[in-house]
Amino acid sequence: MMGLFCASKAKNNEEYKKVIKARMNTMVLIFVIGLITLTVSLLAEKVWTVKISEHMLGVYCGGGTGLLAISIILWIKNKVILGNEAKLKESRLNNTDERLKEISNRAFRIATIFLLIALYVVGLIGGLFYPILVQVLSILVFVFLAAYVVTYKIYEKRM
Amino acid sequence: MQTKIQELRKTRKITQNELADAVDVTRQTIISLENGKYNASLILAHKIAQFFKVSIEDIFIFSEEDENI
Repeated sequence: MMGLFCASKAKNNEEYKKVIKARMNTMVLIFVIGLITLTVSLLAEKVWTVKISEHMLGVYCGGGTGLLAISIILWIKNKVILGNEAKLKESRLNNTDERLKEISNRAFRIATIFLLIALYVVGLIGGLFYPILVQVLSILVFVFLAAYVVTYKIYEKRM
Repeated sequence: MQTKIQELRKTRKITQNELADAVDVTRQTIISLENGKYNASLILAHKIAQFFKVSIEDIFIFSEEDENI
């Protein structure tokens, strides 16, 4: 199975090594973001005396810890792939195979439709109890559609 | 789309893995091509034709029904 955002155009193992190194750098960035999230959420209450509910503190800490854990795991996984030619080739084929890319694109398209339906339903029902929810979800849908139009126009000029 | 990949492959005693390796795709993609479940891109069709040293039309059988023309 091809992971989300994992599609690559690398034509050989040497090119794919650069892709893997770039991914490892991204993992370092995600590690830093996780560390910042965890640190800020822990220090907010104790040092800066910001009042955070127990639930939200748990959410922030969980998010930060999750990012830390996933970045470490994926960094190690990529390091192992870099050091093993057979695994490198297997990973390259799984990330460059045109059929898998097509499957990934179709799955992504359907997942996007489900996401938009879920946003609409949550906004419709949740908005009865929390009107702010409708505004937040409307902004999210607007950002999504704006990003789609902008990237579509960019690719329209390139292709 | 129907293809003659399996026929050519068996005639030349080439395994699905060997063909997949030669054209840089997974073995599952070769299986899907042979079963007609997936239509190859122009680049992949070209690579496969080059591998067997035949023309694309000799491998991929295009029918108007495939594209609803």
